[in-house]
Amino acid sequence: MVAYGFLAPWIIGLAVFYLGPIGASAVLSFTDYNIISPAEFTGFDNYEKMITDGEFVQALKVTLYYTAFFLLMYVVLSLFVAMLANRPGRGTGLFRLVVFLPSLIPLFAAAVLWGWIFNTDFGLINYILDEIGLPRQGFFQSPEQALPLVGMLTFWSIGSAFLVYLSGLQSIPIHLYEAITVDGASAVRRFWHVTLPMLSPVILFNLIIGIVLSFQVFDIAWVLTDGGPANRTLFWVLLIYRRAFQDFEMGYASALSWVLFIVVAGVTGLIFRTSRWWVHYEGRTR
Amino acid sequence: MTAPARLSPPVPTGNLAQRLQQRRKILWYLSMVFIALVMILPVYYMVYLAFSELGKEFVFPPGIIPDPIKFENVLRAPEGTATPLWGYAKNSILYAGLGTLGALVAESMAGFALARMRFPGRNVLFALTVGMLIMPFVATIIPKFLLFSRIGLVDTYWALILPWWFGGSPYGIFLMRQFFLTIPREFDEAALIDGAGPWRTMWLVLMPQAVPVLVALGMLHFAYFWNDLLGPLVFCQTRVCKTLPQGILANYQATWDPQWAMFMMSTVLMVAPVAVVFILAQRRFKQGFLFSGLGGR
Repeated sequence: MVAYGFLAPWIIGLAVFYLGPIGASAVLSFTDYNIISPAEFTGFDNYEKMITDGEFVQALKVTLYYTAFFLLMYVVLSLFVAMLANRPGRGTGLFRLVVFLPSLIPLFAAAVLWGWIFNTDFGLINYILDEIGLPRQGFFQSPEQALPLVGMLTFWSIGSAFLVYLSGLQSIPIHLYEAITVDGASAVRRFWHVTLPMLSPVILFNLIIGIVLSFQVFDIAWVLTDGGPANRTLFWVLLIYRRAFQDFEMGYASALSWVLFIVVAGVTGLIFRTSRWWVHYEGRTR
Repeated sequence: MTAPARLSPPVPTGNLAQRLQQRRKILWYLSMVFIALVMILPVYYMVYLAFSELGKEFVFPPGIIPDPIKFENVLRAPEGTATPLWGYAKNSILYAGLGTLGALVAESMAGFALARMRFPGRNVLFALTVGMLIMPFVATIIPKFLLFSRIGLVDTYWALILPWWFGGSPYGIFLMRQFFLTIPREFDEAALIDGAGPWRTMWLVLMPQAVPVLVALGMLHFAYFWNDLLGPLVFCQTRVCKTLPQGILANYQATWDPQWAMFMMSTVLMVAPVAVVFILAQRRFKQGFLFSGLGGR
């Protein structure tokens, strides 16, 4: 019974700040509610509205596109950067610090900085393009370039995934590499047959965290692009924020966030399901 | 293994092997230098702009260092273009400080109970906790906002801090549980023989061993609260509890032509303390300090 004493804060928190709200937003999502007048039950109206709401469809597309970019950076590229940093040699300590440093800069500030560097009229990059005789680019003002650019800039926020990979790489027993090297395996084979399987639990972890993070992208759109140009960076959470706290359509916004929850839960659930095929747990009998 | 038909080239010997090794090493160094440059350039540019002269930040081509270097920006930036940043900084310290403290205590308690005690419903509770790992923050934000505005907590610190005192984050609970599982039970048994109950066992025997994990987790929490924009944006719309990101953005948006040097200096001043603590801690707790608790997965 003492255990419940230790767990009391979390049990209350779980009920009041997690399960309660997610249940409440499920209920709210079936209503029309603007805070001032009482909520009105409207059945599936909000969900029907969602399907025909061009902005929601756009937000869905934009968020998925961004997620693909983010996962490429956060899960794939960060692994290669971590492998570079894992080799013993001079300067690796500094290298690790340098890779992690940009992740400490708050996203809103990074957004302003990138906005300036890629400014269409006065930005550093367009200045350089001018100097070397290449055509200027629209960057954040171009409907074609804005979203891919935002996606590429996530490379600077791989820090935490990088650290997780690094500690994972360091815990791979060296004798596994020695054994396969004696067999004359190339670097590529060492990677496929030792590094990847031994690292797969960590990859799973980064993949899950990466998905949860990327679906919640907000700051850069709120500070820099305001969802534009032409709604090309209208992220899901930005749409929720606008509907809820600017238009006070709490019912519709709840439906939007409930669907977001379902999608994230569904995707991560699927990944967990498949993980038994590709995640290798050392020293665990399953 | 007999695989004579394999197409890989024979293992090079002697001089050739050495040269290959050498070439690989150079390639490795070059990629590291390249990635390091890519990573550091925006950070450097931010610091560069922070020390530039107001109104002359964007002289093209930019030099290696700003000319002239304006050290007085360090003092001017916190005074703010439209609003001084000191009040916002105080709010940020309260939010990040109290939030971190409360979260660490609650997470340790929950993690301890889940790792060390047997009670009905433990597995369900643990499964729920892990399930909450994937709960997006925004999915609960609307009901939370409605709840807090109903009980009058919106526009106070409590709306930001309180949720973290009730259990902290699922991530932290999970991490603490994993960590406590790596400590041998003999410690608990010895404490029991000495007459200590679970409460004292946890605080006096296990927590001192958890300091590295607590530091790592605490820094993660602190950095999250410190940089958080969406939370304060939703729960704090008045000066009473607005935090640094809001203050810095308010100054940035105050003038039609933003004061870039001041914005960048404000940000640099905001990031610097956190960065210094991270760097010092990273030295102190060598190997991957951030995820020491994950080893037992």
